[in-house]
Amino acid sequence: MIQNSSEKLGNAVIMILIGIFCLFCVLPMIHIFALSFSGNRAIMSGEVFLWPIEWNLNSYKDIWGDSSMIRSLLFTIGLVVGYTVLSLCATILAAYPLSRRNFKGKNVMFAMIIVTMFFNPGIIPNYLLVKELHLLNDAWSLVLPILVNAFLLIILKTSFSQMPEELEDSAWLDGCGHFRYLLRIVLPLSLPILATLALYSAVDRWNTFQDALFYINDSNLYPIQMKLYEMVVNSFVNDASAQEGFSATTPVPQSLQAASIMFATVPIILVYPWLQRYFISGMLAGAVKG
Amino acid sequence: MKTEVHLNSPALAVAMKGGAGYWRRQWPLYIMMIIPMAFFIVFRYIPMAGVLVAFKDYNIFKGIWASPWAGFDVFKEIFSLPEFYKALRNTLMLNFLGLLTFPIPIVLALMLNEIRVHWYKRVSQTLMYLPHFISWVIVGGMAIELLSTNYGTINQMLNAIGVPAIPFLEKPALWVATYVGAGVWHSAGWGMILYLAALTGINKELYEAADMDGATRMRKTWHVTLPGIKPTIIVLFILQIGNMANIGFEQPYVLTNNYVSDYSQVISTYVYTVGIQSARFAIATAVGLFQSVVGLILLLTAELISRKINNQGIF
Amino acid sequence: MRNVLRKPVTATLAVVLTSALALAGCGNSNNGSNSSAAPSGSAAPTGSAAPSQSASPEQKGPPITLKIELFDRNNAPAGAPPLTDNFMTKYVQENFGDPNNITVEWVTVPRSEEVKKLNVLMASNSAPDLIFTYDKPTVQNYVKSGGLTDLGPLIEQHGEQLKKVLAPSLPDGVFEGKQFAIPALRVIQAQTSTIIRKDWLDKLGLPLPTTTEEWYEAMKAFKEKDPGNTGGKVIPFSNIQHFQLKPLINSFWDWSQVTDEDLFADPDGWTQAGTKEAFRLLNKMYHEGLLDKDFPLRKDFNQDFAQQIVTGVAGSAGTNTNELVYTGNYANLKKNNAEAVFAPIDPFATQDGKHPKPKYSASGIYLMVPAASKNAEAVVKYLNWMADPVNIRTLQLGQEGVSYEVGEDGLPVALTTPEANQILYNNQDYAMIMNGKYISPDEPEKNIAANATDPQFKDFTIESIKIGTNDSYTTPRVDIPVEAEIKYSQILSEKVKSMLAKIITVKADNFNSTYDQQIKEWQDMGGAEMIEEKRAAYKKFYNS
Repeated sequence: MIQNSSEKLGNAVIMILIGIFCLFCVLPMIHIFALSFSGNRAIMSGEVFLWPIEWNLNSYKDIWGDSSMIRSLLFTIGLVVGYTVLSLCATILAAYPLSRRNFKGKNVMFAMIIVTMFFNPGIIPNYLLVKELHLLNDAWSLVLPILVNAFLLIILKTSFSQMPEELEDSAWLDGCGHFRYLLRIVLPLSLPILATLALYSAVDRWNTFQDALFYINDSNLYPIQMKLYEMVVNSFVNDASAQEGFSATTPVPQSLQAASIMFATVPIILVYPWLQRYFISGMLAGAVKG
Repeated sequence: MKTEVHLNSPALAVAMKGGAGYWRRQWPLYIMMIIPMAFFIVFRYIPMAGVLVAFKDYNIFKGIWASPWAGFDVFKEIFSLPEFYKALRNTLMLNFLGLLTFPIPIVLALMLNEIRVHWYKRVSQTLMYLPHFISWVIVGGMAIELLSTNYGTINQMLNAIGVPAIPFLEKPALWVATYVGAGVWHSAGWGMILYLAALTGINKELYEAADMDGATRMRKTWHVTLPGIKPTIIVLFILQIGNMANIGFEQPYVLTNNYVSDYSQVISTYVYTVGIQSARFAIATAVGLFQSVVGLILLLTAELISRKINNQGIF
Repeated sequence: MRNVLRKPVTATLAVVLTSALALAGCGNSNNGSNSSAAPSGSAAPTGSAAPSQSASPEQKGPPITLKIELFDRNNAPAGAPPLTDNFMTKYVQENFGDPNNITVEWVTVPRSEEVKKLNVLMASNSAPDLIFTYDKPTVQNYVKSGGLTDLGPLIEQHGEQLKKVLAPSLPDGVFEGKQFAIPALRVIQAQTSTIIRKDWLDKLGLPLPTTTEEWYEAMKAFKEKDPGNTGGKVIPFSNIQHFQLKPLINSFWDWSQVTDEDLFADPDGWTQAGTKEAFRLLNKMYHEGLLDKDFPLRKDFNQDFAQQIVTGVAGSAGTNTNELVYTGNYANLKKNNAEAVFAPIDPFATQDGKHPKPKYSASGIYLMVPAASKNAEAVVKYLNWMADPVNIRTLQLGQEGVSYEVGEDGLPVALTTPEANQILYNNQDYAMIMNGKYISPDEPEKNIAANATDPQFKDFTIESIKIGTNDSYTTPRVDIPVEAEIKYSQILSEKVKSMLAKIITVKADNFNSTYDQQIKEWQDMGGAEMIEEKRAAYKKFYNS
């Protein structure tokens, strides 16, 4: 590898620019991190910026002492893993046929799917449906109604249809049917995009809680983000505290809010560094050659 | 269509004929579609009857079907309100400016692709997607702490070095810039991941060939990398055009303030105020229906144009 | 390829139509039960349920499962038992449920999304037997749609104690002549109290302001002499929200001209001449640097205001009565600066020396029974049971010796031990018929004292409540729903926020034109229509 000086300069510029952007991205997280270890007086006084003041672990002790938080975290991890696997399977099942050149009815089905991206009937019809299917208060209500994301389906379909057409033809000549071709050739070659889709699905499921607000009553089935949302948003609900007046509750301390944010965010953030291993370039090139 | 080139391949010849040969070869595709299509029909099409609320004098206790028809009354009411047009205008304006930032994740991905220091690349990827995990409620609070004119951290720092305060949140033009900037900050790193995945699909031999020709870095990016991720770019661009009439609720809701409400009131916040908070479901549904139709038209238009120009689209 | 796009659309339409029909099937089954329930909501429960009950009041009825809504705020302290199985729920089950052969079941609803979830539960015919909300448009919507049970006759029959305790608030639950809701009793009606840093006044040798003039001078002195040594960061007058400015604005009105009808039709007084003068003063103060310069940026002022209080830069403000104590901000300020003292004041006076200000009506949250519920009678019995002073005390304070103690004056004081917190953190969500701590209907002084929850600031609390109630008025009650209000009230209250920003920050020279322009916009956005309809409703209600 020979690098001339202008290329070195280019590298340096790129690294600096990326570094600055990263700084902007990471500072707020550090701020929340600092808040979570700080005393409430210091937070209210606006003294905490990037380093904890009045360092303490009380907030984290509170969280670890709250069995419902731990239970909720474990449930959420299980839910996210289950959802991601099922969602990925269903998306692959749809994306593969829709990416074939010669599949009668493809355009009708694809149009039907696209239309669903635009029409949102609102929460009441969705709730009625989940109720009729007897899924209320059931973890399935957090999986089935969002099983396939049309956006991700389109991405995957695009990726599948970019595969060299020669691959399919030669597979067919080898007596390889669609199922085997999909499993043996298409999927192994699509690991980067599958990893991305898994990430998007997992993060989506992790961050979404609106469905749980409506479908779930049993606190054992509360996703962690829903608990977090209630905690953080309730202290922002202005009108409510005015109306409740003398029966208003003391707001949840900001350090506890911050610690809960860390607690509910760090596990999902760790998914990406782990998935990065699948982002190996040039896999396809080798396959075509061989 | 491209397929003509391959018509001489025996496999396709059989398949294209249709009839028994077609079915013998392609039946697994139909089996595969059963589960996904069942999902879309049950969970997307059945509840869609809910959009009828827009044409009803909706009574939640009677349900959608028993509520009396109201024809286009709800639409007439919406279209007679000047506030609605203001919200529509602001929505289109903010989304259009958002569209201008569409290339940023691509540029980030291309830049990352050039970095040869592996640990730096891995760490910065992870850091860049962090903002996606900070909810807008919290971003809104931090925006005021940092950017407010008289007490914001940034303006206090500017004052300290003798620069007059910048009213980031007060002047409509600056507020819009702040809004768009916050959007980029929140989602550029997240959107970049899709392009990174697409980059891995580019054939390495193409780079080797370009190296042989002595191509510079810029030329390689332009002639190899960009064409390699072009399909992904086109698909995402068309989908974003289709979303021009839609706007998330949280970002404008938390970033707005009382100086700029003439520019920050968008369809989602407007519907929240007049529809949801006042328990007028028909209004919320009718506006949603309007957005759906506009979005669908925009999407199809973008698709047709893209097919003409690039011979490629989402279909 | 291009033609392909046309085909899917027709095909898609066909699918939409068939699936729409499918929904009709399941929709109809729902509607069946709903439509039969809706009419009975207005009349039948009394007819069918009441006689059987009066025949055998002592006997246990058939077993009933009574479902009761419960707010989930996710604010449980570490180690607290679940919301639906703790000291309070056991107390209810053992003392109310078991003797009446009733199983009490709690249905949790997230506090911040309560209205949305309630709408969904109501629309799907699966709401609990006892529901509640603070949101008046929601209540009106349910009334208008025929979704609630008329509780009047049931209260006559089974609600003797309830009627006695809630006497002041029950009239607010009457809509279209029927008792569709039972409003909780708002124990403390004081709404807004103005506060000032007394330690700063003392330093400057100034008395507690008793007139607008004196108050204004104090604000100027705070700015110029900076008695708090804030290094120029001082914000003499903070919390610039319309709601909190009412005592100031009201003091500029010509009260000899203000009728009850005016108060009902235009409670904010945008059509009162005096309002303009009040804003002229605020405008002047803004340009003199006496207000929070960034106030228009503060969408939810409470957080920023809390911070200004705690950091000791705020000199004076209108606040929710006693807010400083129950949010813990006063205590936090004391931690930062032990010498800081806030005193409630009542400086804003009219020409004839009165201190008019709005106060809350006697009613708090609205309790309701859906028309589809078959247990309206059990709900009323439950609320009647709750209205017993012993039960109220237990549901508000828990167990004597564990979560509260009785002080020398005979008043209960909640403890702040971890054990007490585990019982009390959401106590107000079980004793739903009360907003605020309650001792008895006959001794208002005791009720006030009982709400001084932090002994450190007891005098502050009592004084704030006195000031918040001094010369205060409640908005007249009219039980006819006003269409224009339902339609426009939300959008108009958004408009008021931006009006405040424009009117207060505009250059003094342009004040008149900006003010008139903003009022006109407000009128055109539905304000005028709303006032007109409200006047008509008022006349109709009070003349018939």
